[in-house]
Amino acid sequence: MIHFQDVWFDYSPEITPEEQWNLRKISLSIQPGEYLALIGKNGSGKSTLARLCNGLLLPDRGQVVIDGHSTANPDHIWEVRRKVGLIFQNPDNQIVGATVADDIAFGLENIGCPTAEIRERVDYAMSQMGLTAFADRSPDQLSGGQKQRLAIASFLALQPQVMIFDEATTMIDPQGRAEILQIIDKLHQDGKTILHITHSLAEAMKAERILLLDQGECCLDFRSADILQVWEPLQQYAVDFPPMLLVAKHLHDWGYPIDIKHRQPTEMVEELWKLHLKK
Amino acid sequence: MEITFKEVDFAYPAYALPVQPILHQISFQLPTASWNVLVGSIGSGKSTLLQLAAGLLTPTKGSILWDQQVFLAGEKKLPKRPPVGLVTQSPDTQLFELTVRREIAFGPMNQGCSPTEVDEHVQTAMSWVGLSKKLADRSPFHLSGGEKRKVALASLLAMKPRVLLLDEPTAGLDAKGKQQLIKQLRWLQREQGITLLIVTHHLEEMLPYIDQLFVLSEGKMAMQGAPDQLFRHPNRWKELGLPLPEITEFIATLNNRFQLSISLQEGSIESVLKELEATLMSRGDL
Amino acid sequence: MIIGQFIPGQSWLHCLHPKGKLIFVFIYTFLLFWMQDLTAYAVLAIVPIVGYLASGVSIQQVYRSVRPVFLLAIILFLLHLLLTKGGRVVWETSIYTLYSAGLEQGTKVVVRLLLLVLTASLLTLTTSTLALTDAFSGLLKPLERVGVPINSFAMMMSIALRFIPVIGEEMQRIRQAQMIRGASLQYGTLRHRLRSLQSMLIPIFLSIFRRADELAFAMEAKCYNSEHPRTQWRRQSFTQLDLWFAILTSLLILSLCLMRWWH
Repeated sequence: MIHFQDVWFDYSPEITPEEQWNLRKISLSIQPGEYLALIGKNGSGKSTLARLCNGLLLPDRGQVVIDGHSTANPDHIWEVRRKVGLIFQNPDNQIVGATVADDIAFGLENIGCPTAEIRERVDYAMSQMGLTAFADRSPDQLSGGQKQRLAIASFLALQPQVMIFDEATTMIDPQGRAEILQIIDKLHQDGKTILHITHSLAEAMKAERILLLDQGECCLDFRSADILQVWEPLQQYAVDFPPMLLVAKHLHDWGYPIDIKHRQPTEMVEELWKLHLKK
Repeated sequence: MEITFKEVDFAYPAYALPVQPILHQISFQLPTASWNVLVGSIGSGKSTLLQLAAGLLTPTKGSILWDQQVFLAGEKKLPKRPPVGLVTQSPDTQLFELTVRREIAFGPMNQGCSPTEVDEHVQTAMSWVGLSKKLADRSPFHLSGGEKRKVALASLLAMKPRVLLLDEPTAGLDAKGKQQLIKQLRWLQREQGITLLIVTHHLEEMLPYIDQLFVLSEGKMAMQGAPDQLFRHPNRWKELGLPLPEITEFIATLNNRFQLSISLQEGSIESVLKELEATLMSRGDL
Repeated sequence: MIIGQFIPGQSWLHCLHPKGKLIFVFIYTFLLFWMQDLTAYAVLAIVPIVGYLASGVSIQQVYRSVRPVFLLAIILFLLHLLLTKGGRVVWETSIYTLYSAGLEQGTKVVVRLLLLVLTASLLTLTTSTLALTDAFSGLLKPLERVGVPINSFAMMMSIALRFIPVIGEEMQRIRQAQMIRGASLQYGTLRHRLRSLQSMLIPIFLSIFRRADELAFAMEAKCYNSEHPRTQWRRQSFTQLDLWFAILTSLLILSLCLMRWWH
């Protein structure tokens, strides 16, 4: 679905030495229907990578191919953008419309969709994101989580195959965050390819596969079920381990037969209790 | 400095649209050099409460005392502002100067300090937040996010506040930056006697230090007290739609299942694991 | 006028075609300046009164919309009292004489201004900014033939309007953050105030640029291209309601013409 072939990028490539470019020698493939998480510190190049995925930025070297089309080809750029939805961090700065429905219609108006179909698709996107009741509200009256759902809906209406979430959970409160994570899960089950960019390992563990970006280079690429194998390097990159993952790791080290995955605290204790009873 | 809210009501003037949160009957006291945390969902009135505590708004009813003294809010009484610093969520709302040194000096200069005093305050503030002297002549806009935050904090500390109000101070920082900031705040509270009131969604980052926890819901104080007291009522938290910190929930269920008595205010998962290891060992599991 | 403060609703005023409403406001403005006597203004005053009753907008919002022009209205009124001469003498002292013409002219100017602001606010309160800019660009469409990029202008307008409340909130935050640091626009020496102003303006501008940058990316990601033709899904068709509105408007114009002719 998404292929990066030895991609190099910098915002000012003329004056920056090669070894300090924002992104260096990135090669990766994301399969259709895959759920991938991208983690890394602030300034590691995560957002830049997201913007390369739909041609908002173009690589200085190498190429990005989306479903067979290179993003560098201006003839296909609109098709590429229609296939790839990109949700940003700050919901306020991506809402264009004066009402919820208008905002969802914005993208459809851009691609020249007929009016009757716009109505249909707007209604569908609103019902999927639970925004139907807010159709005629101004976006300013929504909470952070609702605004972010609106941002997702406005891409959903364009029927993309890939959805990229660029730190989409960072600026909203815990309840809103849990909602967005559930929505991502659901979109994945509906067959969308997901790229979730986050600095939280806890969120990333929901994905099937995790990439770690550090100072512009892709350093680790592992399946989240196999996190144990990359535990040491993850520590080196100062990744913030969520507490329940640490508990699972310790139990594993103490010799309990337990999967290393993220769990709710109560789930964790129940599992431990069962293991304890067995002994 | 101690802050006292006595039955404070607050409402925005009626013509201000859209409708803003209103506070009802808020009473509490923040003792000198205490660590206080305020939680609540969006629209519960947290930021309004911070603005009241900073003396930027005047209560419609009731009174607010700073060390038993009344300050009138608003710009009109500018010279007599209470010595309170408000650290907003994003440092970008305050940076504007050409150099870090001038940025930090802005506050003390407005207070009318002499140039030598200003210099002294700037240097102390920079060392308090751990900003290296090399950065003093750099532009604040060319710093990393974490450093910008330090400059914003230093520019308030240079004004010698007795109270610091912080809105989501750790948002956007990485694990190391968070730990550093919490350590600095702890130092300011213990060694400089500064009273802290912090609004946060991430209690777990500062759990062991919290003296008082306030839970605001729809403009009313739903719960207040020591955290380990409030954590004993998980259902109340659920009713309010607020998640308990993961680690607290873990300790609570663990205590229940294994008949342990680990403090609910324990903040480090490593210590919890140590106790768990000891228990499992004594029961012959390990 | 409350810009960017559209209050969604289902009243017949909300349902009218935005182009029709826009044209009506132009006609109304023209009538206000064309008519010269208070009886005509009394007739014209029916429009905002009926409009506000129908729109379901609260009295506070009405007050808010006219509040900004109160000062201007008072100044204009006083100027007329001081400067306009003519008619009979109402009140006389050794240094100042109040003429009836001054009183009349002053009242007319104030009434005209208030009616204009009230009616224009009615338009922005019951029409979403997007619909309004669409209507604007629709009416200006002929200009496109001579090379004016009407669509881009319309998009710019609607985005500017959409961000006014967001930026307003941001300004409030910045003002407070700097007040805490001792900045003040009202007190202190001129130098202090100028520096305070600088301390607020720079963060505000930076924030606007940052937002604009992100918004541009978001719009492009949603396939916006100013050179492509766009569908306008809200393109309303004229309904029976609009027909009645047109008939009533014509009646209003006709009756006012008659009144003027009568004089």
